[in-house]
Amino acid sequence: MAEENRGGFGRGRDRGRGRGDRGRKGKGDKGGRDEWVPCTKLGRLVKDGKIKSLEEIFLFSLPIKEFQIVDHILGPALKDEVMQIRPVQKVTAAGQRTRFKTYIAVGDGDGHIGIGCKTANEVANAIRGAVINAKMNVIPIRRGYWGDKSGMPHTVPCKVTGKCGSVRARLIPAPRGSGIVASLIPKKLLTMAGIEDVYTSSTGHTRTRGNLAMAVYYALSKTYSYLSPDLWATTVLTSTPQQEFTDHLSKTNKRA
Amino acid sequence: MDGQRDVLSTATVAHDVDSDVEDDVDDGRRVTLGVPGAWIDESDAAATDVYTNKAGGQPDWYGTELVEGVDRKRLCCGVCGRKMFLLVQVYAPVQTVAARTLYVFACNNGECGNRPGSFKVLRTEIAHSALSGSDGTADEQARPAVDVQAVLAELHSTSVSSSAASKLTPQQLVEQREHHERQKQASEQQKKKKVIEDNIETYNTLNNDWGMGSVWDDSSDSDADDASAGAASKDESKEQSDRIAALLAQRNASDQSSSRPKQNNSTSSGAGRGTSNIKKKKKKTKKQQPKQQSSSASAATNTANAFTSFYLVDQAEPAPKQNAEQAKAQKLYESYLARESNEEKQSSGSSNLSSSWNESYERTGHEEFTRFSQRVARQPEQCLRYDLHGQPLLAAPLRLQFASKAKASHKSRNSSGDGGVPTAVVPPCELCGSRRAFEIQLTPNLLNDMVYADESADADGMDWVTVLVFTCTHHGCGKGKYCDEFVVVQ
Repeated sequence: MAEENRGGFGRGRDRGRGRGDRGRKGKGDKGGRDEWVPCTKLGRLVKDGKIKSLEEIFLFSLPIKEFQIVDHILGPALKDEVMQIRPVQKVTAAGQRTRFKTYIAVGDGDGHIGIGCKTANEVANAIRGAVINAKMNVIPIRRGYWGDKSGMPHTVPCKVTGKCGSVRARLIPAPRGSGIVASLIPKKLLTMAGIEDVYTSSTGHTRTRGNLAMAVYYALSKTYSYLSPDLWATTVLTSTPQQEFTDHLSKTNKRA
Repeated sequence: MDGQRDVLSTATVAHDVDSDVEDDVDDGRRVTLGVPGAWIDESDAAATDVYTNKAGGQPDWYGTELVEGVDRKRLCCGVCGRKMFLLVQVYAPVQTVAARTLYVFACNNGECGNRPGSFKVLRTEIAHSALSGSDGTADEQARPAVDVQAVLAELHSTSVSSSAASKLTPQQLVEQREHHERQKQASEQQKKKKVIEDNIETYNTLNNDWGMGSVWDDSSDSDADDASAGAASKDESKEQSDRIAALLAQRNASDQSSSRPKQNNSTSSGAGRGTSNIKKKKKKTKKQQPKQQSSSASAATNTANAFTSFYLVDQAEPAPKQNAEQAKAQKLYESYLARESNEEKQSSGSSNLSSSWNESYERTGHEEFTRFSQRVARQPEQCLRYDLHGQPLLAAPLRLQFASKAKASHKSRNSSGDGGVPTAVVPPCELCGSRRAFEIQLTPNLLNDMVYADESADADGMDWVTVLVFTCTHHGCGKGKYCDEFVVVQ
């Protein structure tokens, strides 16, 4: 049915006219098919350089649907590391179907961390997908002081705990110079997050690395949702990036 | 433990098709894509016609007597009442119909959002019989009703109406004069309206196909264009205040030098030559006049309900990209293996057993969007996807959008037929009652290239990821009329 009615978009009479050079008006050359073409408004704003830091996005809890946004802003500072790769199986009529499940953590070492998980038939695909997933899951981390508020923040601002599955991970502020007192997986995560000193305590089946990593991730994400006394002052609400740029543009254009 | 290690180390990095939910799976479908072509020279009246595929600009209408006119109200946003911008105009004939064009309009007002009424799609079809030889006859009949000579004489007279406030600045005087001229023309036209029916197409064809355009060319009086712009002004006063504002904008725009104006903030007066753009501010059905002169004028056009236009060239969709990230993934994998061999093995080998559903933290919540963006990334320049009666590429689950309307049944990804869209969502055609099926969809690059490329355009009015257009499957429905079609915006 579809074939017979296949219409003529492209079979119009003036086909030849459309082809030709496309001198882009002031946007410069495109890098061919590999360059990122944003699909969302936020992506466009980021690509145009109107949003310069992730904090502007985090402030309004805008969903990050394109991982290139994070890539564009954080750039080479973002390091990724594989937490775990394990095969998982599903029983089918034709035997077992094995796929690989990958956990990857990305972080810039200065307050941003993300964990991605992906399962795919091959390891490379899984890794690639998990990296993308991790970049979309990047969250900010609040750091604070253990005692003396001198120098830069170096530890978590308060005791926070996160849980995933049976694993409970607890992060406790530590004095300067303690270093990250944790086992391997949390240590990696906390280094990537940019925390210098912290005590940890975990319970549950911590051998499930995926759950342990997620538990630490949730604990870290709670640092910004914890209302500490120094945040008691009321904040002035600003307009979202979309709104802000709409207003900006509409001011420069006279419209009826 | 060792078993696990062996499995991992023998995993090869081969290309595989059957991957997870989010990946760009090659299902063999290749739709036709519309990619941007050359920019349209707006001063060239012959640059576009009803048979061109283009994005932006003003729509080109069929000019036969058989085609019912499109009045202003129809092209106004259903939410805010402002005039809508033409997004794309697609010439898409099907076998049984000779000429068939789709026009997709959208409201550029950010506050309208994507609410119903802020998008509109018109479709018109002309049968074979109507096309052959009809163009001549239709306009021959229409033409005598327009007394061209009389109109011309009228225009060339430059009567400056004496205004009560003679202390107006020159700019305002000119404005006012033009205002009055327009009013006069408008009333002229009102009379003619009764003679011809409210059909702007005849004026269009008069101007373009039958050499009438040259008449207006010669006229140096800017008001010549006003008369030619066509009659039906039902909401006259609103229109004229629109025109004044547009005129102001044109003045400001034309004040800048030939380079494109970015900030239209200047209030100094300028010459009155920007009025060639006023007609663009009028009914969008007006075809572009040859008087379009400079780039500043074209920039000012954007305040007049049109984006800068370019052609759309058709192209077949390419195959999924071979991923270029293999090397990086491989490197990560190897470093992981190296680490594993050094560290104490954590045996999760026993937990190999089935986990056929994902954990809660593994679903990102936007799988559909990821699939969409990966599919679109095969050809990042695409603005339009054409797949008559095929399957639309959704950017978000439909059941969330139409929670009240959509059926509870699970929408299968691989379903064909109505493209996986529940019929409860897409209403049948109003004219003939037959089912509507998917035809074209617009992709985000249209906004990138058309709206955002032009810095003077009011770029932030629209914010959608994709616009799906569903058209009546009964071809030949509504011959000679402009019919509304259904739109899903995500």
